[in-house]
Amino acid sequence: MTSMEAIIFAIVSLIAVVGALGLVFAKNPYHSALWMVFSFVGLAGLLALLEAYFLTVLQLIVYAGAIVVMIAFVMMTIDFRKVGGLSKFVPQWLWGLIISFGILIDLFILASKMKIDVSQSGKNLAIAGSNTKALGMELFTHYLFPFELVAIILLVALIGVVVLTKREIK
Amino acid sequence: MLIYVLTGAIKLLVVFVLLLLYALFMLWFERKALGFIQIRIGPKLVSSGLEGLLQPIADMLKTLWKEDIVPHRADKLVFWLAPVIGAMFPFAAAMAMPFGPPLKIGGSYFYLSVVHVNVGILYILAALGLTSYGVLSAGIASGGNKYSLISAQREVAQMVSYEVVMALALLNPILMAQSLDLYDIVAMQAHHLWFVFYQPVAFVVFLICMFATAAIVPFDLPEAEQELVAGFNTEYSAMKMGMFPFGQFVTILVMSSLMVIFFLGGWTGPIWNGHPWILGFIWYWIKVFFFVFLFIWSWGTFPRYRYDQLMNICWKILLPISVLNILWTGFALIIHIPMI
Repeated sequence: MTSMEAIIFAIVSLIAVVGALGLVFAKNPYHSALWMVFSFVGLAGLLALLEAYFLTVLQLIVYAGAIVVMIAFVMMTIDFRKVGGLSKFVPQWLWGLIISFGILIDLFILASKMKIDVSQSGKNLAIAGSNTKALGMELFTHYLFPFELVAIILLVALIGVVVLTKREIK
Repeated sequence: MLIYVLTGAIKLLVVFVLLLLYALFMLWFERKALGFIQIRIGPKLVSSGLEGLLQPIADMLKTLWKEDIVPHRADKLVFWLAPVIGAMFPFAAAMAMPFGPPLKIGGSYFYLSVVHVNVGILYILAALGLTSYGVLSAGIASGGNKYSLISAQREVAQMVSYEVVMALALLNPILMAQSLDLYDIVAMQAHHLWFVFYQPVAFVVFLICMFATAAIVPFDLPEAEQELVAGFNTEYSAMKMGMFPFGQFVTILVMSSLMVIFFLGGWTGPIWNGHPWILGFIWYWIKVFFFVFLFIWSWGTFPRYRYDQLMNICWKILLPISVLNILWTGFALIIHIPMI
């Protein structure tokens, strides 16, 4: 039973990692977007493995379904041949490499400090039953203030976009 | 565990075959019903005794033997992938769709859907949302064909806009049933009136979104033959072209069943309610196929909206109405207005 979950965990995490690598290394921006969806499907699979089904489908709806679609929507204005001929990385690639390598080492240190048991990978540690209700209760009682704050920040961003794009017209 | 996997696999296979048969049947039914609406006869020569019932099989064989043309400038991989995505995700959505009332065997229930999760509706919405990648990929991969590109742009804008309103419309029955489980929502309506009587506004909003999501005639802007040749289909040929309508037909079925489950009581009927099991089954499919027919009906009778009208309907009319409707539903639930 555990071995089967470990196998599924390996497949799903492989999908997430391969998708992320493809996202970075693909030359065509639309291929990058498709790899991103692939990676998000893998992440949703990880959440499904934890039996957090509500978060699984939200991951698919919000990230794979809406956000990447909006990114791809912007690509309608791109000449793909021109973009494909550009060099793959921007000149600041060294800094990016250093920072992401630092974060990776940080994660490794955290994992070793927390003593994460690899043999437990893929095992369900989440609460039993419907976690939609539990999530909603927590979000609207204990974490109400941060929740409202995030909503207001999003609203500000929304209004900001409208103001920025309408400025030229008048 | 093994028996669980085995039943899942068998269910998957059965549903897949049923959906393929349904899509073939729809090819015939669409042409026949459109012919009836336009006072024509429709297909009749293949299998003359059966009103041309074997026509889709002939169509399919013809499509299989056609030459498969890939444009020189096309993005080969994505060009090949697009119809697969466009046909795959509606099938994935249909995996959570109930094919009838749950069978009671002994003490436990046997559900007639491949997966039964407690967030079934969200799963279906997610799968339908990912469907738009098919048309989007087709448009972008067609190698700079302007019809395909405009069509893909329209499809994506339409999908993203109407998905929001559709989710908001579905939120009202979800709030009333206090569950995201499709079976729970029907169970709630078995004890009360159907949700269409409590939520007429949400019903109408969902009805409009249903046509928009399946891209059927008043909202078939991605495919608008008169302005965009065939939209995203322009560069496609042979079997690749045939896969897009397959996906669309399955989307139609899933949307119809959502409509029936959320607003028209699923497998509960006005009379002969519930027992025996087969009556619920019949009620359910009568209602579902009425909505499938409604899609074709609108296909044959409505003119097409303009693009700006489409966006105005969604963002300026449907969205405010849906938000107000949710506020009212929440208010009514908090002050406990009794349900009949």
